[in-house]
Amino acid sequence: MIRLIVGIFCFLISVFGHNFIKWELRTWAISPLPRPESALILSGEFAPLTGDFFLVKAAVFYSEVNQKNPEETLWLARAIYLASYLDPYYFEPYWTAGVLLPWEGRIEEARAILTRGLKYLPQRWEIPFYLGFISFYFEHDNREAARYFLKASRLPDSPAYLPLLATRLAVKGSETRMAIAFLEQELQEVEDEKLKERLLKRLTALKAILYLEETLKQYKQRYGRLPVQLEDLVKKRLIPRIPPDPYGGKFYLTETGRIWSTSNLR
Amino acid sequence: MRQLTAIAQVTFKEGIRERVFLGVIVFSVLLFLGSGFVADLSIGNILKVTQDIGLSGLSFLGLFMAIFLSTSLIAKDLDKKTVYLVVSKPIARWQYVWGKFLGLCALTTFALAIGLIAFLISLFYFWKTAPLIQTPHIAWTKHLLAFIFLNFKMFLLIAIAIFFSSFCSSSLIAFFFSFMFYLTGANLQNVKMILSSRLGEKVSPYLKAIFNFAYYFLPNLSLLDLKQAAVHNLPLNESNLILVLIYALSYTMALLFGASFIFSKKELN
Amino acid sequence: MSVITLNNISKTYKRGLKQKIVAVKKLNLRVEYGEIFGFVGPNGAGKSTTIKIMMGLIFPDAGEVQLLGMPYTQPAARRKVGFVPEQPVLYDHLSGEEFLYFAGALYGLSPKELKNRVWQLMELVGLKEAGKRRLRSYSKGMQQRLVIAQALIADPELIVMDEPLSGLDPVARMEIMDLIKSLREQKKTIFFSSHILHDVEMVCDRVALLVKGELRFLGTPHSIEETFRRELQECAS
Repeated sequence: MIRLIVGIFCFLISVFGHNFIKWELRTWAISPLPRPESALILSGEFAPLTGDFFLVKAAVFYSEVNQKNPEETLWLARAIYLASYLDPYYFEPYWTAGVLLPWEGRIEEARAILTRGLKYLPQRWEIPFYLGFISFYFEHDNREAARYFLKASRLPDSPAYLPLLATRLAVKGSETRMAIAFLEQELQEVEDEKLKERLLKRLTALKAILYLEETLKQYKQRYGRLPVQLEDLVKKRLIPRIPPDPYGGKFYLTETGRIWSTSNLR
Repeated sequence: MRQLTAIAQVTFKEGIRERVFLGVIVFSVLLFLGSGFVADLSIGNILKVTQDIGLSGLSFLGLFMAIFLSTSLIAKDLDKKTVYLVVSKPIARWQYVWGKFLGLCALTTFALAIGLIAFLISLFYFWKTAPLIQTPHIAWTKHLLAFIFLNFKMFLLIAIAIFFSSFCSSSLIAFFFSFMFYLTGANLQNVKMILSSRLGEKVSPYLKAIFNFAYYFLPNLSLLDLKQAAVHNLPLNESNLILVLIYALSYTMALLFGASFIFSKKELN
Repeated sequence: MSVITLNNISKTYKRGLKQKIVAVKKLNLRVEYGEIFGFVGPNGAGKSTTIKIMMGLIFPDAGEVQLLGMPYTQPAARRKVGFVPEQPVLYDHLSGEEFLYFAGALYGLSPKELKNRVWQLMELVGLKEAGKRRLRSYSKGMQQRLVIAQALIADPELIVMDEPLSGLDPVARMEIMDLIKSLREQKKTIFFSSHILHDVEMVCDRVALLVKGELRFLGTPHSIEETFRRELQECAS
């Protein structure tokens, strides 16, 4: 009888104590990642399922990630790469690589993932499109971008504006407009609330930049040169004030005449 | 012929009436029916994850039956000397081996069929209730094809289990060897891919040579794995599939002939 | 032609790498039609080994075995032979009826042919009521009776039994003895082993004594008792 009571008591202690053990979502999510090759061998025929698991971890972590911390963003990129490696025919990781990773500063990793995707999902227009966008917006390589966009435009179900886009790149056009169009498209398709929030934030920042870019053009037209600093636009009464940066930084004019923010949009 | 079917029938009946079998069936049915709910929790394409869980679950169920159940049922036969009353009859030893094989195949296919029905029901349900934005297309015929090939994979694994059981002294050893054979077989293609990639350049050429040699003799199980094709609706080459079937069947039969030979020389003490 | 012919049978077991145990040494034996033949000896004498060799369960190092005139290597040699192993274990989940149908099928009989035989035999061994129950629920005595029934399913000419009376209660022992006697009336040959001399004396026509793998005596039960006692004393010393 005593043994039964002691047994129940021990059980209650463990149940009670379990409450106090600290468990953080962050620590659960950002566990060390296995090497892709090892993960493949270890999971054998269950590789796609394992990939799903890592994708879940990555997705959960994404809502918490500190974008300013390169260690965390690297983990994210590696997790997506792992998920894609384990099931290369699954589109979702490529979407993440194309739409989310570059904005977290993980350009190289995104390119690595997407380039693999060209091999495994040759019929998906989104993959060369994402590669084109990265070349265009982040690396300012119009020629490569145009090549990718053209490739994408030939694939089934690709949006009608792609050929136009490809050709417009030959002409020096507004990068910001393209980025805004792209983000608006993605916003329509995304369901996750947190993700939507982030994309909206970015969209707001880009719209502010576009607004400033347009104003810069007006200034140049009127005064024949670019202003020294953005405040000049306000002084000359072209705009009432400099719009705020949703990321908390301050917009400024770079030496090459582009608009950027101290926050780096992160 | 009658003797073969008799042994197969008894193997089937004995297996089905084992409580372990019932537990396995119940568990797998619950798994499949619940797979969609699990998939809902995960972020990503709910249908894709449901299919992954379902097909992997079927694979795992089959694996358990082919390797674990087979080795333990045969070991039970040999240990408890129930085999005495069979081998002392006017039958050849090979009839016992093939009869056991057929019975175990029937058992495995039966269990997998039940699992498949549960899987298809849950997949159908989640397909109908999934949000439209996710890919609504499911390659039903490819799923059935994947199921058929899964069965042939199980037949091969059962033959492996029988082969090792015919000479290993304990069921644990037979199980261990069978399982190791399965692991290498499942990963053969993956290792080949890795060795030919950038990473493979660091591997010593001797190891590579050994591997390439072994590649021809070990069973390439991933050839029979059509999960990816079913989930992602990848194109399938008919003539290639037929070659794969022939490969699997001939490997299976080779193992059974080997097991028959070994068993015919075995002292049943 | 004898029912059973054992010609110079030898069998040695290897324990590990060095130890060798001689189980049977140059055994020569003939069993004739219609007799009840007893095979006695102390435990470990090699009786079970000999029987297993006869039934093709293990293989002799040397010598030949013939059953009903056919070499034992052919499965057909066992077509008319029924076997009752020592302390048999049965498939748990089958019913008695299913098990007999199974045994009959292994002899090559069709279900149609077996239909009457199965229930006849069930009645003969007194298991008619328990026929549909799972073997798991059978008592030891019931199991033994079922094993005898399966040995008789194909109407064999020879019935080989390894220690058929071991571990049975007195009532069961008497029943089995009666069964053996009734089988002799059906002109069947019975070969059974036992380590209890008394059982063998009761019913056998001829008896063979096996000690440490060697045949020490072959003759009628009456003359064996003295030899048996002498041999046992030698064993004990």
